[in-house]
Amino acid sequence: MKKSLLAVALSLGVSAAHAFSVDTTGRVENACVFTEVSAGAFGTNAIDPTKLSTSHVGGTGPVVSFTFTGQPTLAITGPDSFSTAPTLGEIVPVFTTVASTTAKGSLTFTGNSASTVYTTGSSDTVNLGLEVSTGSDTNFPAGDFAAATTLTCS
Amino acid sequence: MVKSNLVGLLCALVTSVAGAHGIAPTRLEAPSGSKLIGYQFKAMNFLNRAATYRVECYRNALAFPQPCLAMPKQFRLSANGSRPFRVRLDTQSKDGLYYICTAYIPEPGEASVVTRTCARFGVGVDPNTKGAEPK
Repeated sequence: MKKSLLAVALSLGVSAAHAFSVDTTGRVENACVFTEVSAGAFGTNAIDPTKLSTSHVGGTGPVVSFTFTGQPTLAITGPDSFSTAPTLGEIVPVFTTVASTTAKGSLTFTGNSASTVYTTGSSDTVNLGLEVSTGSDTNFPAGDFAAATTLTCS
Repeated sequence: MVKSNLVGLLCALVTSVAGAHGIAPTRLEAPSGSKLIGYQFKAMNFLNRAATYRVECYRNALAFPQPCLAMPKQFRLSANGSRPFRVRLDTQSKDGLYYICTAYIPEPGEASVVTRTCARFGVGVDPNTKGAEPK
């Protein structure tokens, strides 16, 4: 009986000496993929010829969807000049960008930029808006206008 | 009033395209005081058409462009294509968070949204925690 117990104890000891672990490894990348959703357009400025706005009648703000992994930062930088415009003369346009997302709600802009960090979820949709004022009682001249908002994921 | 309507019609902004693209890897670190940093990245185009991208570098914030040597500096990727590109950057021994980005270059007629995906290269700083604060 005593020999049997010793044998069991020895066998347990031998077994413990052979215990080993197996690592499970992986890597999470912070990554984003932007997707075009819809076009942006200034509406008619008939109601206020000194302003161009995506919220005016007939206008629409760009909507951008993206998917992500990890915990990326999304930064939005609004324009501070037109990329396309007729000669503005003395007009110094004032740009105001607004943005809200499905997951985060309204984003707070400091100057012309805002950012937010994603720690949950895997996708979001950004709704952008842009208003440009002449900053005076001077009307915008006739012509084509375009201004670019930059979305950066890092 | 007629004139205002005319102006309104003329100033419609008609296009908005965001490039669907990515960059890998997205997090890199180098020891404090590193004077030269560099890496070979991979740019990916997820659009179902060819698109052009430009490499841009920034330090600490996207408002501060940083000169860098990118090879190539600008390239066109086929639909759902990818390619490697190399970046070398002289930090002048300044620690900080360096952004290596690929920016989608809009095609003619596309203007209202530009997308940029960036890798964070921390020199003496953690690339995961430095940067924008959580909302």
